[in-house]
Amino acid sequence: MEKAEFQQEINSHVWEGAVPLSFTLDPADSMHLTFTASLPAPFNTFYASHRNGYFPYILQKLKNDWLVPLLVFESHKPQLTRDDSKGIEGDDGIDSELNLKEFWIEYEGYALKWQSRNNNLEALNTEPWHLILHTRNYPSEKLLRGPTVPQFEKMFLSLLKETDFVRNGSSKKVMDLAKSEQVALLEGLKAMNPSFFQAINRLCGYSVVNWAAFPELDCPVHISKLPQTVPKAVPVRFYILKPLNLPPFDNSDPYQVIQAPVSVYYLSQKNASDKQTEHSEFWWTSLRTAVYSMLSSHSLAPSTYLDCEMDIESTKKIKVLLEGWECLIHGVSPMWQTPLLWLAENLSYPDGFLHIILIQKNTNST
Amino acid sequence: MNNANVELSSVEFSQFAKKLSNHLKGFEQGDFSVKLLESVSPFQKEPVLVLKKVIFSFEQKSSTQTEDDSYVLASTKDHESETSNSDSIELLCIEDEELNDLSLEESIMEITGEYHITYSSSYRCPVLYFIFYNQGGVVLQIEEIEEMLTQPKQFKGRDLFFYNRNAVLPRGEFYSAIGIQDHPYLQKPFYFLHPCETHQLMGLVTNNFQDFDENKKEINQRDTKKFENYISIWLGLVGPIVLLYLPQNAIWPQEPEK
Repeated sequence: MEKAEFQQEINSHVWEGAVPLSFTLDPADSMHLTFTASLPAPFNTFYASHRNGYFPYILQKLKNDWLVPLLVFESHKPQLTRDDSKGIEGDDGIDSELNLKEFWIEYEGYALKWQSRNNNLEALNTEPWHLILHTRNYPSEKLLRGPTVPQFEKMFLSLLKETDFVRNGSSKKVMDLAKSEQVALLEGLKAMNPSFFQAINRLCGYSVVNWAAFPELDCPVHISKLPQTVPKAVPVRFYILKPLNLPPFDNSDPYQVIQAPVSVYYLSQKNASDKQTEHSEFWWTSLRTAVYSMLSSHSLAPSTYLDCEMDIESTKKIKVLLEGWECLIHGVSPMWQTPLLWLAENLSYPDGFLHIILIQKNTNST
Repeated sequence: MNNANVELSSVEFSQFAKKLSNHLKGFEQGDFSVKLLESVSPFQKEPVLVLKKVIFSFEQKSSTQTEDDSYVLASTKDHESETSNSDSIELLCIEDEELNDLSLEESIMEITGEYHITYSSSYRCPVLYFIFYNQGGVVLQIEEIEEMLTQPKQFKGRDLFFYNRNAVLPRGEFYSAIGIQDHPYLQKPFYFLHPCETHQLMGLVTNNFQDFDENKKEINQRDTKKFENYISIWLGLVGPIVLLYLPQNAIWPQEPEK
């Protein structure tokens, strides 16, 4: 496959890929909304969400395209015992009954956060992802109420600023966006069209590394080959699904998030010590090194290999250690030797972060 | 401007936060408490400095006053002594009959601000997270926070339940300063002040951190002694945006007495 074709293939999977979601209206809410005293047949719908879609948009669509028509239909259905005086009158009644700010989504007892990407937890699950939609009784002690779409868009821009800062050392690129560019960007966020992703990529800045020039990714490379355009670091969010050997997290999430800027290359220390040739070589940070150094700096893996030079021996040891972990980005397990920079450029999410899900495998449990 | 000069490392933050926490503990009183959270999450690297403060407390004034006055409520005297410029925070409540329209179901008697000073490894600076809740523990929503923190527009009554005369954020700029994001360790959404301008802001007061050598007419490396005040200087600058006023003499803990 040609390089350009390959790139396109990856882009279309990430940009146009869908996640099947199954929504069931909470039974108590169905009873409330349809004014029935007995449990109605479950209201269920399927929704193909953009892989990168966000809940505020999805909820809005669910309300307009599913719940409102459904309830209009239900309220006009002839019912022998229905008390008409209490019924919902017309579309306005339904609309006021369905306040988007009260909507929330439950997954196996966890109240999902509206601000997370919708596929945080997809890794836990066999598809489609079964979710329960609630339209009342917002768990306000667990979640701040969701923002309106315009509020959400402003928050999205602030996330972009953060990623811009990590990559480039300032948020200038995002802050300098003209009003029209901002509007176009946010339109794209809603529609998830390819031009949106292209705009995001322009903002993040491509480093145009020709990976074909680095056939041996596990070997050090002479410093002169380091492209000038590489970012300072890339923003990464690691989602660690409850490791078995740790006490349960004291919160409402089944995972813990660790956010860290990760450098995309590191300088060889061997030559730095003899002072004559300072840092003559560098290594690309691989997914393996990135995950390992995060795990070890949070005491989830022994840190003995961190300070020493990444030689063949320590790479081997790290390989063994990481066999206990499964790593998912966009639902797939990339090869451990993949350079982090490549992952960041191809598999980052619209907010500019590379979201990496880590699952500790069961094998070590006794 | 050189950003590196005002960047705060993880180690520095931890050290300064601990120091400031100890210092502020000396100012603790009934409605102001200080706590250093060091192990809320198994993955926590830097501590979180938590300041809790009653930011508004409303007293229903005695009946000897006129009808109109009874709705003009000011913060309690305790606060005035702590507020740096001693401008009291005045709040105007809306008419009694409109109280039913309040989005907070109970009438507000007291609002507590809980401020979490955390470290951001992305920005390499501290970030101020916060929530406001009333006496019943009900967390204020973003629209309510917006009303509280933005400059008062012409008093209109119906859509306002009170306004804060000390608000510094221009109306319309609220969302470029304040957002919602997961607390880095508690993993639940908090409001936070965007840190993207922190370096520029601290750069403006950067001479506090540098040691100017008069003889050589050049600026030496960062003055570590002065740099220790990073967090309290920063809090003194950004705190008022979210109604966090430190006790006045807490802002310059290491200032020698004259």
